[in-house]
Amino acid sequence: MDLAIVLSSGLLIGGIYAFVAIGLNLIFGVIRVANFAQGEFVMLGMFVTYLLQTNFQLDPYISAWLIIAPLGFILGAIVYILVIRRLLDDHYMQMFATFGLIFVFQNLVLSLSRGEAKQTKSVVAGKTINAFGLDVSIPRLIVLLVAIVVAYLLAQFLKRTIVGTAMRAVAQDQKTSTLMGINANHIYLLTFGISIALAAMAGALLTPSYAATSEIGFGFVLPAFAVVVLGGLGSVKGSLIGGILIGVVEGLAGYLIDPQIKQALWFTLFLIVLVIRPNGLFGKSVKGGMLA
Amino acid sequence: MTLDIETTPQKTTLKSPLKSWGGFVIGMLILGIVARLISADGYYNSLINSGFLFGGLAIAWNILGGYCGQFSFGHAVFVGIGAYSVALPKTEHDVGTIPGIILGVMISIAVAIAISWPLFRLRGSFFAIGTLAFSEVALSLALYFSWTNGALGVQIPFDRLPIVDQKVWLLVFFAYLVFCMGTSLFLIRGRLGYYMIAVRDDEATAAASGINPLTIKTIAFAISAALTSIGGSLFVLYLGYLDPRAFLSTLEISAFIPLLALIGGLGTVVGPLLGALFLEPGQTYLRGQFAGSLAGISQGTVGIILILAALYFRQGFWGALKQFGKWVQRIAKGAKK
Amino acid sequence: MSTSPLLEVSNVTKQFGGLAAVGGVSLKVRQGEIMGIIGPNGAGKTTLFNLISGHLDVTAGSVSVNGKDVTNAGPASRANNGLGRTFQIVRPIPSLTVLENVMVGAFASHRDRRRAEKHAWETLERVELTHRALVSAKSLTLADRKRLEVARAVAGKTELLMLDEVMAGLNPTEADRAIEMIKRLRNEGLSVLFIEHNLKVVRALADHVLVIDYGLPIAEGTPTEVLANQKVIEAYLGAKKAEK
Repeated sequence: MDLAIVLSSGLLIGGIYAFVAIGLNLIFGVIRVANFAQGEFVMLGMFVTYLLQTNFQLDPYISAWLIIAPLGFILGAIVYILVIRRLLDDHYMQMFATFGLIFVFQNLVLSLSRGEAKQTKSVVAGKTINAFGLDVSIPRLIVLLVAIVVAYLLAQFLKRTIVGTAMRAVAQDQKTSTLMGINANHIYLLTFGISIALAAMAGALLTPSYAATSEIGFGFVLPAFAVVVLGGLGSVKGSLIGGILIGVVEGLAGYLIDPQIKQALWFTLFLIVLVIRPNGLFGKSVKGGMLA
Repeated sequence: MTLDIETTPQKTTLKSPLKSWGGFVIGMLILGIVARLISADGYYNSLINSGFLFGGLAIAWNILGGYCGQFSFGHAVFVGIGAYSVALPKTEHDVGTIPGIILGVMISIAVAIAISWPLFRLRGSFFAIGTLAFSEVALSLALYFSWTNGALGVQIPFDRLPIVDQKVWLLVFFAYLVFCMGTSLFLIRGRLGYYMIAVRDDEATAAASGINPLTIKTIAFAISAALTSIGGSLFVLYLGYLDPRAFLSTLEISAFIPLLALIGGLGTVVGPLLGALFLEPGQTYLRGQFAGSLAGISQGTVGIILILAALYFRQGFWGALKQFGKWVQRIAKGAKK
Repeated sequence: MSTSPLLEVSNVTKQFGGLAAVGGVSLKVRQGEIMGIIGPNGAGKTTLFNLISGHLDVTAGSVSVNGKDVTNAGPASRANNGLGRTFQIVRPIPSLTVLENVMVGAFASHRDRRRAEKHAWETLERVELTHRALVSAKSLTLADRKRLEVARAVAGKTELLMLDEVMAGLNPTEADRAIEMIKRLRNEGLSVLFIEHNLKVVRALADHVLVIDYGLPIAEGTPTEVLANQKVIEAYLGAKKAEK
C-alpha cells in the first residue's frame, strides 16, 4: 500500500502547487509577465496569518478569506502600479525587477522575524481523516479542495463575466482589445491584484501544514513555473491538472528512484516539456507564446 | 581596382585599434595601480579581490546577455562546474590547478553547447526560465551525488591551495579581469561582435544577411560559459571550501551576476566591471556593518537597487557616464559660441 | 556567361490544411535579369516569396540557387548561396549606424573588419547613402531605410536580390530614384526578383513578368505582353469590368 500513500500525498502536494500556480498562470497569461516573486506573496500571506492568529486569535481558515485575500489584492495592486506597470514591454527588466522583489520581501521578513520559523496554530493542524484506508492530512486536503473550487470559480469568472471576458480578450490580443474599448491597464491591475490575492490566500491555507520562514516562497515558485508550463499558459484547468500531475510525479519519483532527487527529476521533466511542447498540455497556441 | 585597405579616419565608425586597446591598457594599468595602493589594508584587499572576480564574471555573462541579448539566469552552473573541476581532483588526487581549470572550461563549453539547441528555441523570458531550471537541477544533483560529496561540499586541504596570500590573489583576480575584459573587447570589435548585436536586435534580419542565429548564440554561450568556469575555479581556490548551496545558488550567483551587468551597463565592455566594483564590495561592506541586528539589509538593499535599476537605470553607470559626457560636450560647444 | 539560371523554382506548392496558397508555380531567373511577380491582392505572391527565400517550407516542389538545391535550407543558408531579400516592413538594426548595418552584410564576404568596413562604404556609394553613413540606422527616413536594406543585402554574397514591395510608401520622386538605383545595380551584375503593385514600376523595371492569381500562374511574358493579356486584366479588375 506504499504506492497508495505516495500517490495520495503526491496528490495533496500537487494541490498546493496548483493553488500557487493558478495565480501565476493568470499573470503570465494575461499580462505576459513572469512573476518570480509570486512565491514571496505566499510567504507574506503565511506570516500575516501567523500574526493575526497570534495577536487576535484569528483562525487561519477565517482570516484567509476575510483579511488575507483582500490585503493580498491591495498589495498586488500597489506592486503593479509601482513596479510592473512600467515594465510591460521589457521581459528582461521584468525578471530583474521581480527578482528584486524577492530580495526585498525575503530580507524584510528575515529582519522582522529574526530568522525564526513561525508556526501558526489551528484546530485542524496535524489532524488526519481516514479515507480508503489511508490517513489523509486534513489541512492539505482542504488546500486541494479549495484549489479545485477556486479553479472552477476562476474559470467561470473568466468565461461568463464581462470583466473575465475582457481579461481573456486582453490575454489573446492586447492591441485589438484596446481598440475595442477595453482599458488594458485596468485589466492588468485587476489581474495582478486577483493573482496576488490568490497567492496570499494559498499562504494562509498552508499555515497549518508548514512553518513560515522567509525562504519558503522561492521553493514554491519554481514548481509553480513548472506547473504553468506543463499545464499550459492561460489554462486554469491546465494549472490544476498540471499541479496535481507534478505533485504525483514528484512523489512517484521520490518513491521509485530516490526522495533526494525529486526536485531534479521534475525540473528535468519541466525542461523537457518546455522544449518539446512549449504550449503545455492544455495551452492554446497564443500569439506571442513561448516559441522564438 | 585595388584600393589601399586603410580607410580614411572620417569614414570609419570604429575607434582605431590604438585608441581602443590603448585605452584599455592605460585604464587597466591605472586600475591595477590604484587597487594595489588601496590593498595595503587587508580588508580593502579582500573587497577588491571579490570585486575583480565578480567583475570578470559579470563581463563573461555580458557576452551572452548584453551583446547577444540572451539573458541567462542559470550561470551558477558554470561557476559550479569550474569549482568542482578544480576542487574534487585536487582534494582526492592532488591534481594540479591548471589541469583542473582546463577541465572545467572543457566541461562548461560542452554543457553550454549541449543545452543551446533546446533552450535557444525559446523566446526571451522562457530561455531565462529554462536556464534557471537547469541551474536548479544542477544544484539538486550536486547535493545528491556522493562523488560530489553531496551537501557537505568539498574542503580543499590547506596545503594544496596554490595561493594563500591575499596580495597574490589580487594579482590573480586582476589578471582574470583583464583577460575577460580583453576577450570582450576583442569580440565586440570583430565580426562576431557585429553578428551578436544583429542577432540580439533582430534575428530575422540577421538570418536574411546570411547569419545563423543559433550558431552565433551558441558560440556566445560557449565563450561566456568558459570564462565563467575559470572564475568559478579561482573562486573555490580562493575560499578553500566548496559549498554547493553557495556556488550553485540561484539568488546569490545566478541572479546576482546579471544584476552587476545591468547596473554597470549591459552590452558595454567596461559596464559590468563598474557594476561589480560598486555592488560586490558594497554588499560585503553592508553585510559587515549590520551583521546580526538587521540581517538581510545588504541583500534587501540589493533588491531595491535591482528594482530601481530595472525601472529607471537601464543604461547603467556606463550609459549614465556617456550621457553626462555628451551633456558636457554640448555645454562646452554652447559656451564657445 | 553562364546560361543556367541563377534561380530555379520548380512546381512549388504550399498547402495550409486543405487550402493551396500556392499551387504549382515554376519560374527561372537568369543572370542579369530583372523579373517581376504581380497579381491581385491575396494572390499568393508573398507566400511564394517566402517559399523562395526559405521563410516558409514548401509542401512540394524545389528551389535551386546557382544550381544548388536549397529546398530544405533555411534563409541564412540561402543567403549564403546568393539569395538576398528585403522585407515589406523594413527593419534596420537599431543599435548600429548605417555603415555598421551594411557591414553586417559585408562580413559574409569579407571576414576582416577593416575590409568589411571598406566594402560596406563602397556599397553605400552604390546606393547613394554615404551622406548618412555614420548616423544611427534608427533615424533614417523610410526611403533611406529601404536603401539601407538593399545595401546590406548587396554587400554580402547576394547575386539575386528579392525585393518585397520595395516601392510601398515611397512618393513618386523617391520611387523614381529607387528605380534608377535598381537599374544601376543590375548593370553592375545584380539580378532581381521583385513583387510589386505599382504597374508603372513594373513596366519601367522588369524584363520579364509572371502573373499569379489564387496561387497559380496565369500569364508570363514581357510587361507589355502581360499587361495586355485579357486574363490578367480580368484578374485585376474582376470579370464584370473586363466585359465592358
